[in-house]
Amino acid sequence: MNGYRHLDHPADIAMLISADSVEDLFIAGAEAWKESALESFIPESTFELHINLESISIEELLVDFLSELNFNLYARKLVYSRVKMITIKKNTLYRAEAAVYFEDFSPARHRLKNEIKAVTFHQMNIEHKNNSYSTRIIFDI
Amino acid sequence: MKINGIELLPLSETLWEIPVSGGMNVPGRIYASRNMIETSLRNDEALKQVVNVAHLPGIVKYSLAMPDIHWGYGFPIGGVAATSAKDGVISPGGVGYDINCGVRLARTSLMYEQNKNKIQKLIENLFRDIPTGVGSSGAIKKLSAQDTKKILKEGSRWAINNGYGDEEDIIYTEEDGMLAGAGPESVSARAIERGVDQSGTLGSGNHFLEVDVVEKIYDTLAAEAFGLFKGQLVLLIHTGSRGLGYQVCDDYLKLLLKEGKKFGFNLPDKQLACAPINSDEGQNYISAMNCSANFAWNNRQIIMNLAMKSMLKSFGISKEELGFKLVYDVCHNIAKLEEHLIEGKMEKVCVHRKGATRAFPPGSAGLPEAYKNIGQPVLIPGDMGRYSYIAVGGANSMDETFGTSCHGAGRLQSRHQALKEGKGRDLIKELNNKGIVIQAKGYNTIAEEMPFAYKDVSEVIDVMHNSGISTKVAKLRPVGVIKG
Repeated sequence: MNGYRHLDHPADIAMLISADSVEDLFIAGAEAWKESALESFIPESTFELHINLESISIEELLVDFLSELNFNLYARKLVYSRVKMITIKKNTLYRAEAAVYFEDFSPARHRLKNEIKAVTFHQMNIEHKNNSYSTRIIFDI
Repeated sequence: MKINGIELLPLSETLWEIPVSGGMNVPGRIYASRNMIETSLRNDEALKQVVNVAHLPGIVKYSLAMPDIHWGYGFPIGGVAATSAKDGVISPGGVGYDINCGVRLARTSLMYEQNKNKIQKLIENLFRDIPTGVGSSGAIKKLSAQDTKKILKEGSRWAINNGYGDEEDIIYTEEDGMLAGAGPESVSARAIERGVDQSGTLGSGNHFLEVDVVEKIYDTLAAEAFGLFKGQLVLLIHTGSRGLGYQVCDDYLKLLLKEGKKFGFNLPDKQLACAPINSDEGQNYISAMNCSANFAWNNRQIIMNLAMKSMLKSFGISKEELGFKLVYDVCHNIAKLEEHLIEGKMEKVCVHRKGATRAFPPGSAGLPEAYKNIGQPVLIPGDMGRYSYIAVGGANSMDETFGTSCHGAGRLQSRHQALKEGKGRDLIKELNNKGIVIQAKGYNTIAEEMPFAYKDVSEVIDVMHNSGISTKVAKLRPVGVIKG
């Protein structure tokens, strides 16, 4: 099943994300990030940005992908809306190619909840069991 | 005693040792009461992180933890480690994402009793004049990337040169508000982009600006030197390097994970990624960290100046009547090259302080002349409903903790638990009933930061006091708070 749920954490935000495929796990991670960063979200006009990344492990690729959403929000005031398409491939490195919908931040439509300092590597370990992928993910706030 | 499978030997009432085992290079040492060990540390990963830090190449003496120790990333919060400047490493995880997060205390000549009816108005003005909350920006005129690069080199000096403070403020800021060896070329364009409009902003989470009243004096001599007296109104600011520092840490953690393999270190946690101090990677991180530290000092300097202007407006008095002076500004997330006594010899080491405050005793180099015989002020916030403490560097701090003390209370409840506990309660009214005016961007922040979510800071302070690491000077009680 694709999705996320909150785990208890003494100071920050911990989530368990799970999905039927690695691609869907990245989408679940993006939705968990949105839930953690935004209080409310009224979607309106969106535009597409392409995110192409390479990393040495699948965990680092996931951190890098979510860090892109984080950077776009806090530095460029671009709010992640949804993933249009994502593919993950492995050659010598892990590679993600994604088309992601963003929208310009508007206080009338987007209410921010937490300032996520960073997406951390702490306790991240993508497991593939019983046709399902899952990992913990912790956002430092 | 064993906690989570880790052996702890009591060395005194307030000090515990984890003996060397496995790949540990040095023992772990934890400052804590027996109660803390048996309660708050029982279900925490922090002790394991003390053990992990002891694996760092070139670590000397001990992997230390202050009594506000809790679970962090790589290092525990409250973790302290010194590594040899000659052949040791620097680890961004030993500094944290919020580089030079720190505390600044300013004093006034005003008495709370004569001004308590004006606190509401003051908090409204402070909340309007100082941007708070998630991604807060726009406190001062719009800066360019070039301006930001100047801040990265000049630190507090930039604020003073641009009309946000007095020359004297520099003297009362750790390192004069500017670390040398800060090359903006080591900071990514992304980090600059993330911080370019955040100078003079408080941010969110546990960052705050507080108006406090000095409730109790413990050390008359030190209080006098710091200009503190009972009943006085003071200002406490807690924030750091904002998005710029977060991005610098993120950038270098990723770089060291990717490039660090060539160093051949075998570390138990990815977030302890590190580089030899003398490598290009290590030197570049130190430069970028110093830039972030300078950005943070400039940030707190601007906030303090904006706050002073709000106070003048709110009280309708002159600057002379307000008597506004910086007591001290000290950081609690940093790594600094310092000289310490290692096996009978003075050696240069890189002291990582992550959620730990420098606490130099009397006579130490680098203290303002007025505090030379007293020691360095150690600023330790508690929670917004109870109290904070001002302490002073103690006689044992250099020998035992590389001149370091604790930095705060530490959380008792997760944010999620605190939100649940606050549900259905009028928390603003509860604080008002205790004589505390609060303004925050969101109600959830208030719930997450309520006193019930934090440990009692006095237990933490007492461990440091009884160990002679930092001793109590004054207790502050909040009367007005702004938060993100």
